[in-house]
Amino acid sequence: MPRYHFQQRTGQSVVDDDEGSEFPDVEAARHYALRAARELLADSIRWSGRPPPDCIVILDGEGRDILTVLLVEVLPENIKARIR
Amino acid sequence: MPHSKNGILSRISPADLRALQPHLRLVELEHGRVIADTGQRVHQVYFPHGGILSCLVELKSGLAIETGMIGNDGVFGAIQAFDDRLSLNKVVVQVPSRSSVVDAAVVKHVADSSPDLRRLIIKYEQFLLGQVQQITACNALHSVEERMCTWLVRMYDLVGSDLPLTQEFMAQMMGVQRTSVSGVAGKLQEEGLIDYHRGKVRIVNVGGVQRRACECHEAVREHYLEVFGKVAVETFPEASGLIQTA
Repeated sequence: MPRYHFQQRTGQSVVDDDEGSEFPDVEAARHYALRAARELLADSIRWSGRPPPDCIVILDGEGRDILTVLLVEVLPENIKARIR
Repeated sequence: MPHSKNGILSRISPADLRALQPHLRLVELEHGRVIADTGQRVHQVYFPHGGILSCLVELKSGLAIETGMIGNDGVFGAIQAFDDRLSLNKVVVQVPSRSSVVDAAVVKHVADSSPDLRRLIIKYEQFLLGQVQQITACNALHSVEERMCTWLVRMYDLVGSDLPLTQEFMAQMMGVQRTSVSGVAGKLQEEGLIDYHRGKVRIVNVGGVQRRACECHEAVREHYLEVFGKVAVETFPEASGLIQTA
């Protein structure tokens, strides 16, 4: 199974993921990134008060950007509607 | 005497030790070995010389959370040996080491006529329960960063600064996503507190990691001292982390 890496970006700062995780395809990796985003956002709001990353960038085994998941995507619809 | 590398064995009365001695064996415990399974009878009692045994609660989904750590400060299987009980949890070797091991039936036999041995085992069990209670509060109320730092300090207290741990493993133990672990690890690394590459954590600045942790690792250390009193350096030189705070 291909290995994907999940980079966390906050503004200009980047936290790399050298371990990565295996998923059958990009879609599965994206689902994981959404779950990860939910937890990062929740932990920040509920507990740490420190900013979560703005987004998670999914990279393939060669370090190429495949997909970006914004943390704002995982906000519930009614909350998102207030932002627009 | 190799068996004195364990904190419980080194506190056993000479009479009890003489009774156990002929039956004590040495084993090498490798990472991932399952030494007890949920709902299974316990056949052997382990007195680790180092390393870490993880006590895990398994849920129906297949996920398993760590609820306690047993190192050379403790014992696994003794309380279950007392009355042929089953292991309620899964126990897995997290950090490998050598261990003294003895048949549960032997421990039961010696304990049946030794209030001292029973008292000692019960004391340790009290301490282990204290860990579990602390982790319950910690999991409910502390951030991933605090929990992870407490976890790292607990491991440091038991085995020192070099921890063979993948992020995946740490995430599973804590019941969080791996990205949450890698986010915290990245920050700690950036600040020069740890070095983390390819499944190996080296704690570079334990004081710094402690400052980022919640109070829970300190609480566990204090429980140990409350339950066992001050630790004599001569009997238990391996417990470096515990000694330094005594």
